[in-house]
Amino acid sequence: MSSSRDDTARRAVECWLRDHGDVLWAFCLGRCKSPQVAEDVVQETLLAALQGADRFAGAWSERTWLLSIASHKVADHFRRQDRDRPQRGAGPDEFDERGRWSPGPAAWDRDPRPDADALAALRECLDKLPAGLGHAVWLRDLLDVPTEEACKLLGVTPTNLWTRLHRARAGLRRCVEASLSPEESS
Amino acid sequence: VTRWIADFILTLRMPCRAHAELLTRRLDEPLPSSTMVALRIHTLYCRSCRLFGRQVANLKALTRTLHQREASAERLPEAVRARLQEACIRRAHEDPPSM
Repeated sequence: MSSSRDDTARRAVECWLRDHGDVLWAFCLGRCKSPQVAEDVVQETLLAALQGADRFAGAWSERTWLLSIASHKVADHFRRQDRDRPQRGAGPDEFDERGRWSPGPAAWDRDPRPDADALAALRECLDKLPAGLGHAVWLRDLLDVPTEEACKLLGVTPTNLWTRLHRARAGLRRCVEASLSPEESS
Repeated sequence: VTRWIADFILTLRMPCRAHAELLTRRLDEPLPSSTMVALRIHTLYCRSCRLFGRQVANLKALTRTLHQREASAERLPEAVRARLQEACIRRAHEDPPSM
């Protein structure tokens, strides 16, 4: 490998760590919970970014591109660790055989506000999502990756992506509802 | 016009399960006007779908807030930054990237 290529790689890594290191770290640490694992995942992300730098078309922001790679690496980590929960669905079906609500969503006394309790409950619910559903939510709802790109990253069709997002959001809604009214769920 | 009316009636006659899917799908992409009008009418008289649509939209916004807070809460420790830099350069040298 030429020294100029070494220099290019060094500059790219320096630049990514300077501009996006904190966000990548927070993202990976938040998902993996372990600093050691998060460090490994960030390293794998940066290496994959170096390998795929020529394919970065600039259609997204650089940060979104790096986070989408990190999201894949996190999913890889859980698969390797055999912690990837199978697609158990997003919980029990809320509809009867004719497609009517059974039971319907409960009215919340108040919509959850972005306070510490609500965010902690939401984080817990996000962590409970099966990886395939959670990954779709991260790409679309958090990283704002366009549908077409999200489909490429997940290797699914738009219809499949929307199905995943629907199941994920319905599951999150139920989970948050249960945490908002624990006396009813117990 | 005929197609618009046909889509509208088809959507309006769908069960709540299908309306719930449309209520989450509209968070991702604009729906055809015939579908949107039928969805609005359905949610006028279906309280459960109305609640569902409002709650999933609210949770999407809350999820984004969570991400923003988490992203700004943790800073990459300098020691980790240095190790990452060194490891990436070493591994990139061993397995040259395509850049």
